[in-house]
Amino acid sequence: MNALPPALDKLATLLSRLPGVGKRSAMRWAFHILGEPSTYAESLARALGELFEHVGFCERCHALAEDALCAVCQDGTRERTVCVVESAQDVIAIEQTGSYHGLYHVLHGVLAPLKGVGPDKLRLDGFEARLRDVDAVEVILATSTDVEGEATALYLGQRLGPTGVAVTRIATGIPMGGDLEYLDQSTLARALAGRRAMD
Amino acid sequence: MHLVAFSAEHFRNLAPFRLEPHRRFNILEGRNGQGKTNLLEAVYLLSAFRSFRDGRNRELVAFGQERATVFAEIVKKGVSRTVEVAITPKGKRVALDGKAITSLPDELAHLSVVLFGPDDLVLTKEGPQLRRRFLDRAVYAVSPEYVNELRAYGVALKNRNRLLRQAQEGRLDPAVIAAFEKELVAHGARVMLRRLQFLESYRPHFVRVFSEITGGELAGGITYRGLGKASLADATVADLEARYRAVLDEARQTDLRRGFTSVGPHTHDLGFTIGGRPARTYASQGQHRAFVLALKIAELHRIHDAIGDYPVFLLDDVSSELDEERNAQLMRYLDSAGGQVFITTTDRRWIHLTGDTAVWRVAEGRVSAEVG
Repeated sequence: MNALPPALDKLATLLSRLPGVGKRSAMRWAFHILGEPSTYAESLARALGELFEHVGFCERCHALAEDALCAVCQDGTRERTVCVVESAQDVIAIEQTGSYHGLYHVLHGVLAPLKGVGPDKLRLDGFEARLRDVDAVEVILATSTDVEGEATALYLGQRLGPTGVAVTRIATGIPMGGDLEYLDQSTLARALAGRRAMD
Repeated sequence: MHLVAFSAEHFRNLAPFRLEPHRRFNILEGRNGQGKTNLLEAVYLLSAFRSFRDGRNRELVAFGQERATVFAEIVKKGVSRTVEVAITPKGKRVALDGKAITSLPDELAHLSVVLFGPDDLVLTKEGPQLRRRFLDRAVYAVSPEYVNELRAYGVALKNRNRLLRQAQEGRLDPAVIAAFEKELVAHGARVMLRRLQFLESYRPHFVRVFSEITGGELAGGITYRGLGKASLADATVADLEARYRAVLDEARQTDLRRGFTSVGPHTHDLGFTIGGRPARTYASQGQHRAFVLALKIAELHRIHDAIGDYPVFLLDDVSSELDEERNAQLMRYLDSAGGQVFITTTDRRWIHLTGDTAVWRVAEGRVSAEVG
């Protein structure tokens, strides 16, 4: 006999689909929610419902947005630089640094032939037109440094050549506070190749 | 470095065991199919976190069990550490000193293991895959970060191959292929550089050991074979990239037709020579065996150079395959060098060691210490 009420079982099954959540954690969460006052479950359900009602993607840069345009695209004071990133989370990470004041473009992925992702599966439709619209002076390629991320940057570098906009690649190398002796050789080699003149 | 304690649960056909290996020689004796090689495989797994046999993770776990664990306490330069590998339905989990680790290369250096098994005995005779695997394993025993470079090259290669097949279906995007080719060339050049650098430091050991084994009658040689006939000695990363780029450009039409990448380090080989002639065609049976014996012993020396200690040496039933003279040379070498050794054999009479020895009987998956 399965002593688990179907509603609880259903919740646990749904929770276990979240990344990093196993069957047991999902069950523990479900029981925890059940143990809380019912107002918690109600506000959780409301928050989930509102997620799709209020959060979508910016029609210009494809970052997270509550309206047709995201807060960055609505901000008239932004510089005419466009930072290309893989995911909407990357935008949040860069915004939190407080050291970038340009625009973004979210690809929602990287080129990955093995997974069937070609340029047509990335949010690149009308990208060149957008660069003209915002009169961009620079495109920063900030995809990750693994094989697919690098290949995507190389591809975009080629593709954007004819636009005449300056294209740069985000720097790679030694992390802040990092000790050279603990770095792997390929990171160290890149850091050496990417050295700059002292100011 | 050596194992002071070694245990496993639900690993292949082995009954749960815990043993305290001898710090010099451990002879694992038993009939065929009893589990001797599985014991060596368990030691190997603690070093490389993967098996030396082909196959799925699942096969490492005893029939009817969910997970297997292998554990050892290792003493390296007087410091004791523990390493545990769990094979679960979700994959392998590795813990060093009880802490889960995620970054492989940094930690690969905790335990160096060299395996000498039946595959090595045919290194001079069989196709290039075995030699590439021998080379790649030898390189990452001294340069653990090589794992990442080889992996990145593999990702770029698989992606390019997929693009070549898409092109055959009429979906050719030259800009996308070009992007992945740049990655292929960049990572391929690093892989080649590592292999070449390794060979430079390994070759003197090999030449010396081969000469000792054969009484100096003929010189043994090893060359790297790839990217055409011209020598790659002293090539820099930039040279290698340029050379690889050139052969890749030349091969592109062929590759597009065939749907796979026909040039690059995944196709390269080692050239073995005796007295300047190819070992594969000119070596006698005895010379073939001397060659592989020298390859392995030189590997131990090279690792000793790198880490200041002998690796754990696993010998999988090789004595019965070597002739009497080569076997005696191997035993003499093992006696004179340091380090912990595990040897499997069906018959202990093959093993003539004067050093301290423990004998473990392996029968029907059960390991027991021989008393006396």
